[in-house]
Amino acid sequence: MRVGGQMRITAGSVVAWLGAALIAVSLHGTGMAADSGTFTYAFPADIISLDPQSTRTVYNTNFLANIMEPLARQGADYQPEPALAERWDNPSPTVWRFFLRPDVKFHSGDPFTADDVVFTIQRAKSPKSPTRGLVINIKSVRKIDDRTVELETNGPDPTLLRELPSILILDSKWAIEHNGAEPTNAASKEESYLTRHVSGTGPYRLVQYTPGVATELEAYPEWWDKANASGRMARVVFRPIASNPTRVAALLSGELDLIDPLPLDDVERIRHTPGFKVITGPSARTIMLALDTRNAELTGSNIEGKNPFKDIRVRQAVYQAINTDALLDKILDGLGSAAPAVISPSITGYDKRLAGRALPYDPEAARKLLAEAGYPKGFQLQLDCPAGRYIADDKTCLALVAMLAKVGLDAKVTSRTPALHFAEVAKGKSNAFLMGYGTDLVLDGNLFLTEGAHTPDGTSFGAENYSSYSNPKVDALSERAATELDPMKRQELMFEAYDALKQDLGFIPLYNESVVWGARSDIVAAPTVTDILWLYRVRRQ
Amino acid sequence: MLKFIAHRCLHGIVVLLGVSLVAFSLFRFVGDPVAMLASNRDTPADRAALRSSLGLDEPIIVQFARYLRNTAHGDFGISYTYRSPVLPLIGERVPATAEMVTLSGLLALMFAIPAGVYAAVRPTGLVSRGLAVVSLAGISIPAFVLGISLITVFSVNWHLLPSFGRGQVVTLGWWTTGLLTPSGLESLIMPAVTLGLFQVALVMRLVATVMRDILQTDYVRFARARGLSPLRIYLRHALKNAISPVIAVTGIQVGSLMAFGVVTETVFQWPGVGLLLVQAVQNADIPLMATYLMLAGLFFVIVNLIVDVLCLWVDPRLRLTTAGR
Repeated sequence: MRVGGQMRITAGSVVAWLGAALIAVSLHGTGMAADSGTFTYAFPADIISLDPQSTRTVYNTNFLANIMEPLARQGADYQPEPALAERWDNPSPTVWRFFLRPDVKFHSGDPFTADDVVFTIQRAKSPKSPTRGLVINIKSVRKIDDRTVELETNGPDPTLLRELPSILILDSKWAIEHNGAEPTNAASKEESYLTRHVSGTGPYRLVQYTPGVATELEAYPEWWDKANASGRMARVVFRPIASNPTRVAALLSGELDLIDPLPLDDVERIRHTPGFKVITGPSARTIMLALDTRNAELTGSNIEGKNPFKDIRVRQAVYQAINTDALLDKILDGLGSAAPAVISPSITGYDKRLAGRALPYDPEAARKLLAEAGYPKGFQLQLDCPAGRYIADDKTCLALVAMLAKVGLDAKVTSRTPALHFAEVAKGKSNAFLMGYGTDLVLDGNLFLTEGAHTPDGTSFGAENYSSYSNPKVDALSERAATELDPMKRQELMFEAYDALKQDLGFIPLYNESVVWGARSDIVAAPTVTDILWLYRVRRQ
Repeated sequence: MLKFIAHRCLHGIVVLLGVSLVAFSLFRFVGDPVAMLASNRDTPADRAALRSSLGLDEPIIVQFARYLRNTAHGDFGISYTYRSPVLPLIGERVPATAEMVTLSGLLALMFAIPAGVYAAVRPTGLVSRGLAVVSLAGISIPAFVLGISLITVFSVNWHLLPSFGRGQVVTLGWWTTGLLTPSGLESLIMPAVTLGLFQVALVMRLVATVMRDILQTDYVRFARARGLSPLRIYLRHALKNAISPVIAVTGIQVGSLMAFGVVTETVFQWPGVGLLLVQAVQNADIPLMATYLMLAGLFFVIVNLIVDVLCLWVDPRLRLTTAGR
């Protein structure tokens, strides 16, 4: 074009236009690596409420346990240890007496007394409370004097002390002043003051809570636990980061001290990057495949008029078709352990006698079993999978399809978001679905036996048993374990129940997950089987 | 003009009713809120009670009617997950998204219009070819790839920019802004560029094409013959006529900015409404999703109205056709 030479809009000015916008504001660095007294970490989900009784989201309560405290907390050995109660006794099988710690003050300045315990438990029990389930076994709570309370349970409750760490004590005076006498539930119409404010007795107190952005805490100087208080981080910043690559990048760029979880794909990278490390340990969660043993017919299968999974030989064939070692190796990169039974070794009730697969991995034997059962050519089934609920859950499902195909079982996978997956399997129609169990703070084997494996009977027994598995032996054993106070006898009952499940294969055990965190090298933090990061135990070297 | 606007508003109401109906029928597929809210110790009776307390046991038509009635009264409900009213919850997140979308739009226009003009004026130059490559890349690279690549280079390798979040913000009344702090501005750069690149590519190609046609028209030739300076011809006479399709397309693109905004916000953990929506979908938080969709619909309607009016104002030829109708 003839006039081009006289143009003022030159390439240079165009580039400058873009460049100026990019560079102008980025002349100085980003103030990385905050001072050594601050610990910044990220988790995929955000803190959604500061009222522990208004949400049943487990990680939310676990985070609040850094600000508020229970009567008994979970020690480093996962046993209940004194927190707001100095000691306790058990005068009769259904009565527990707690002697409260003196001179404890809430962050608001209110003194901690028996009234706070009574208020907390009654609030959790109120008809509006979404967290009634936590205190379902507590019949009543009584104040004896300012420093003594008595809990009465509905029948003997061997896990009461293990349930206490989930019941965080509220500041009753402060809560009532702010109209927080009742928890808000999902049908409430307005926000409660306690949704965004909190007063506890714990090692950290809230500085600022900005939903979706950050939650900032500072060390509470008057915390009673002096032994643990010394050396803890002065400030803590929690950042929710949902996207896996972003969370990893934020750690590598120096903006974070720790991320939970570290995605499996990035484990090697973090391991080989100087200045960073992988923190890993066993998780209490066992991943299993639940089979439909209830319905008369499998919807979506080509077998009509009967349900092949009702035949134990078919269930055995499924188990023998699955190479759990290969799953561990190829899918989990070795970050996990084989699960011979549907209980992890981290949970009370596990027994060494459960070790070793009930039947070996043997596709040939699986094909024979299927032929004996009358399915020489196998059959079709639907496999339901959550995507993003457990570590590499979708990959595990795809691997299962390939393994099942080798013995003639034609599984069609449907992967859904966790919300959809659990809504779908709760309908009780799923042929086979992937599920995990075990990370509840209680860490007691009878939880799965009663909720997950007991025949559903309209009470909380079997409430999470979506495949409606039913085994009279497991029912009887779990009911007895629910009220047996002698730990030795209880252990034996749970062992028998898990052994029965192991032989019956209504739930096919796959593997136990690992807890995998990524951190800067100078951070000292112990992984827990419940995947809880206890902030008071974090140190910087 | 008034008649035109009134007509458009009526359209808008129909659109919003449609959006709400579609949204409501979709919600049956995002999961069961009761399954998300119930605890593992709840009995089936507890679950049924929870379901009816949320009104989820009623027929979908009844739920829809109730939702419309409440919405008309300004009551958008309470979020299932956050247990707090939906409208302020979304309101808190608006400034973050608004600043990101506005800045990326401005960046895009600031770069794309001159680049487009240049490409039209010198279509065969090396720079124009380079621009063509950039625009092709801008159209074809997905936002999450671009975003994470920028993070890798500028945050992980060079430690220049923060990899996520909004940095420090300043509160002005109910608005929070990241434009007044260094860390806020730094945090804004990568999300805005990520979101803006697609717009750059689109607007640049549009401007170049339209300009190329206009440069062939008689009035441009006459202007040249009169000896006007080329810069004056391009920027004052030609560009003015090229700008009305740009306005129309930019208006429509606000929609895609919001859609890509969800992806960009996820990549950069940008605390805006898009991120809130993603969480709401994951948690089957129906009131939050419904309100987001309604507000997004409303926003679309308003933006389109503004675009229509702007186009009329910029281009007199359109005024004639509307008047003639």
